Formats: sequence, structure tokens, C-alpha cells
Amino acid sequence: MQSLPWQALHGVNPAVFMKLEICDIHRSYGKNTVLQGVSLSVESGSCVGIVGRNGCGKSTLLSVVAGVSKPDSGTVLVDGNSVFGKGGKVAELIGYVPQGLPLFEELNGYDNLLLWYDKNSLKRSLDSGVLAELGISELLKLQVRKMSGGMKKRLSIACSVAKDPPILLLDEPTSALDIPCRSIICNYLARCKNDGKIILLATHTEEEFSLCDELHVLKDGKLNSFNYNGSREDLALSL
Amino acid sequence: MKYFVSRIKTVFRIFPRAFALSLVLVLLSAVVAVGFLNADGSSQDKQKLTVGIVGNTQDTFLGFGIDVILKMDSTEAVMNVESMTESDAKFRLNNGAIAAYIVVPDGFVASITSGEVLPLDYVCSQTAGGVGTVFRDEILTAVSRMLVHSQKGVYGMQRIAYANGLHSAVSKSTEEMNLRYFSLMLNRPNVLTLNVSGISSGLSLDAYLLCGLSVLAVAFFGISYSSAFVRNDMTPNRSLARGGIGALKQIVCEYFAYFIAMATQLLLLSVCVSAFVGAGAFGDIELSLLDALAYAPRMLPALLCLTAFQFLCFTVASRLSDGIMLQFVATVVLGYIGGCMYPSDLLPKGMKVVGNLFPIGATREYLCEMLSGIVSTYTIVTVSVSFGVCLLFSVFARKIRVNKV
Repeated sequence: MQSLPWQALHGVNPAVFMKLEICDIHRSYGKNTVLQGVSLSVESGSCVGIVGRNGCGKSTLLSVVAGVSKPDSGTVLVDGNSVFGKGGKVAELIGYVPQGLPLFEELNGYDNLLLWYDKNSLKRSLDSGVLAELGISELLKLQVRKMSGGMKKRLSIACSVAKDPPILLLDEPTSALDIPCRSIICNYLARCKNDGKIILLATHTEEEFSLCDELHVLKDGKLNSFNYNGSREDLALSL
Repeated sequence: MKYFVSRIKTVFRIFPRAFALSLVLVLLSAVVAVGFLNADGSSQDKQKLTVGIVGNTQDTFLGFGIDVILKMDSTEAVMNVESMTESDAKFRLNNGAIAAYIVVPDGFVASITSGEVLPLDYVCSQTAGGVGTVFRDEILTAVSRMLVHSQKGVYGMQRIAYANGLHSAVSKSTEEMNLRYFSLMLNRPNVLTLNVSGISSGLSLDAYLLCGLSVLAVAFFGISYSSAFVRNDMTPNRSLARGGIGALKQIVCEYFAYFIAMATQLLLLSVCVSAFVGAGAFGDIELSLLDALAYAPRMLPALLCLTAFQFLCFTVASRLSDGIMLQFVATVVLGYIGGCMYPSDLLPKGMKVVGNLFPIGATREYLCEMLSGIVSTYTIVTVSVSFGVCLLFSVFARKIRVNKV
């Protein structure tokens, strides 16, 4: 298979090239149609942003792609294979950081991480891996209910990427976080993109826009490409 | 396994607080109960026992017999005797209104004199068994005196026979009368049968209420663990399901973590209460720790059933306040129809059967039968099915909540 120029530029191994295809997804809650024939294709080393008003269906779209929620119709393919019905293998393929936190509040950071990592890989990652990159060491002994929003978000991402999945879905990863925390997360996502991962972001912030190769607007259940030129007014009009 | 370990850590973080609370409640309850028992016992010493008499009270001999009983030295100061029907007597014995009742069959006195013994049926509760022994001894003494005096009839018969020249009939008649006399003497211990009636499975009222209140107490202790298991936000559980730990695995891990915590708590409570009893904190009451611990393995099915019910309450609730209210209300309602607050024999039969099908009633029935010595197959099946149904419903509830995005 011929290497794409950006893959050679970023040192991505063409053997791990992957394609995520979202095909004609329909999803309704009762009489409320949230997604109407949403389709999207994303390749390795790309970051795609989904923007839209509150309640337009961004979280629903991500939950469908992650395999958490079943669509009324349509499918999600990774390299031509459906993600539905994969059971526990989905987490190895797709890391999903939802808006609500996938953390047990009564446990500390270490005990939450132990649900996803084994002890050896946890130690390695804390020393020089993704956990070191996200600054997780300071959170190990802290109970989740005592953590700040930024700490919880970093810990959530750390738990979701335990299996080093090639696809990452993040629902507003930096919303309501302070600048240092946003910087850590954005740097991490930029590194993931360079490593050839597929990233799908539901986003509101311009900082996250800068990470994205493409932006799509979700409006009235339909997904349309949007060329962001830096103008907030244009973006607001399109929503 | 990882998830099970995390649940163990969660539940044992709450354990010290839950244990301390339950220990305080148990010790307070024990002090109050001992106080009531001592007060009740001393007042009972001054009160006369009421014993029912069931039988044809128009019968002259029965009336004579009742007079005799009331005038006996050992019973005069301690016993009131009332006539009543047998169904009334059973009812009043079960709710503690009378200490015992005696069923006198028709023709009882006549049967004694003819050598054919129709026994009296003395039915008492376990606490009144001692009085029954006294009563039986008195009756045997009275009947023996009657028979000894009747020996004089043999001599009277001989004199009459000799006076009327019936010498040839004397030896045969004497032999017949003596044989009848011997059979009467030999049969006189059979004049009274003693039946100890219990509330349920032959237990005394005190033992029955101990079972019922213990079940309620353990059910209420479980409320302390609500914060560990009632979940508002299912996001972590949804993530676990994506990672291969589905609803069934989650429920099994969480339930057994809870069960281990409750079993540990009850074990420690037994040790502490035994220590207090051994130190004389509750007067003369004796409670051997080894005896109490010997019951522990046999109580496992009951504890499994009860904790499964509590766990179901945790699982279906989505808010902490809902979980607490659900457990409290369900415990009170099911405890009421399950006969935990009063003898279930007082309920209509249909209601008793239904009440014992639910986890609280099934657990109470299991404990009662365990204390009486024999647990029926039906009760074991009921307890097992309750356990299984509660866990199954917990899995369904978790599956629905995890899939509801």
C-alpha cells in the first residue's frame, strides 16, 4: 500500500493505517430525531472536530461510534469491520472519554487506574508513558471526589487509553478546565495525532479547533463540513 | 477480579462506620430487652398462670376434678383455671394469653375406673413446661390415691361374698379385681400426655420474636452500605461494560463484596456481644461464643437470601435517598407480612404462605426452623429461589440502566 506523504512526514508506520467509517447513522429518542443519516470518514493521523449547539446530538453521535449506544439504523466500520457486537474488544479499538466521568468517586486515582491497567504496565506508564505525560502521578493517592475538574478529566483520559487504542473519541475534553490543564491535554492529543491515531472530538473551544484537520457542524441531525477561517461569527451563524 | 477487589476496597471503607453503628444499636437493644425480660419475669412470679380447660364442663366429674385441681397445695397460689373451647385455647396459647390448656376427653373419670385410660392432653408453651411437670405429678398423685383407696373395694367384695356364703366365687372375683387394679396402676402414668406447643416450628414466643427481630435488624444494618452501591451516574459502569465487564460480572462482584462485609460485620457483632455477656453486662444471661459461632455456617443460606434482597434495593434505586427509603419501606412491609413482628400463625393461612415466599419472611422462617432443629426442604427451596430471583432482577436492572444512554 502506498504511503501517504503525511504518514512519512510524521513517521507513521503505514502498516497501522486505519479508516473509521460512520455510515448513515439514524438515532431517535422517542419522537425526537437526533441523528438523521450522519456519515463521516476519518483516516489515521487525522483529528476531526464536531461542533454544534448544546443538545444537537454530538454526545449521542460519539456514544454510537463508541458502541455504547445502538443506532436505529446505520453502522460504524473500522477497516470495513463493524464495531457493534465486539463486546469487550471495543475498548481495545476505541478509547472513549465521555462527558460524564468514567471514574468511581469513592476510589482514589490508583484504584481507578487498576481497573484498566495491570500493575506492571501501570508502573511503566507512570515512569515514562502516557500517564507521565498526563501528569497522573500526583493523582494516585487522591480520592476522585476530592479532585478538581481538570484532574478528573486527565484521569478519565488516562483510564480510556489504557489499551493504547488507535481511535480516540473525546466529548469536550477541555471544557471548564484551567489553561495549564488544557495545555497538557491538547499537547497529548497533538502527540496522539502525530502517532497516527484517529481522533474524533466533540468540541466548543478554539484551542481544540486548532488541533482539528477538519470541522463538521451537526445541525438538525445532519452533519456538514465547515471551513473554519477563524471567525466566530461565521461559525455561530452556521450553527 | 480487579473489579471485585475495587468493590471490596469500597465497601470496607464504609465498614468501620457501619459496624460501630450496628454495635451501638445491638447493645442498646440488648440492654432494653434484658430490662424488659427481668421486669416481666419478676411480675410473672407474682402473677398466677392461667390454664385453660377444654372439655364438657357440665360433666359432674370434670367439675369435681377442677375443684380438686384448684385446691391442690402446689397449684392453688399459682394457677387460674378457665373453661374454653379448643380453638380458643390454641389461639390464646399462641398469643401468650394463657400458659397452657388441658383437653379432658369425655368420660375421662369413668375410663380410669374401668381400666381403659383416656389420657388428658396437656398443651403448654415452652416457658410453661415446668408448670406442666408439677401439674402432671399432682395428677398422678391424685389418681394413685384414688386407685389405692379402690383397693379397699377388693376387701369389701370379699367380706360381702363370705357373708352371703359365696365362698367359691371369692378367689375368682378377687383375681379379676386385682388384675383390673394392676392394669389401672400400671396405666396411671399414661393418664397425662404432655405436649409442648410452639409458635412456629415449636419455638417459644421469645425465640420466635428473636428470629423475626434479628432479620429486621440485619435488614436495617444494610442501609449503611447504600452509599457504596446506589449509583446515580452509570458512566463508570457503562465504561466497564465496554471493557468487557458486563452487567452480570458487575453484579456478581458487587454482591459478593457486600455479602462478605455483612458476614464479617455479623461475626464481629457476635464476638462483641458475647464479650459483653461474658463480662456480666446483661446479668445472669449466658451466651457461649462457641455456641453462637456454631450456628454461623447454618445461617449462611439465610444471610445470602437477605443480602440479595438488600442488594436488589440498592441496584434499582438511582438516588441515595431513594435507595434508603426503598430498603426501609420494603423491609417494614415485607417484615410485617412475613411475620417478623408477631407470630405468623395469627395470620390467615394464605397470607402466611405468601409472606414466607418473600425474602424477609423466607429468612425468618429459615431461622425459626434452624433454631427448632430441622429445616424443611420447602424452606430451603424458598430461600434459594428468593436469593436467585433477587440477583437475577439485579442483573436485569443493571443491564437496563447501563444501556439507557
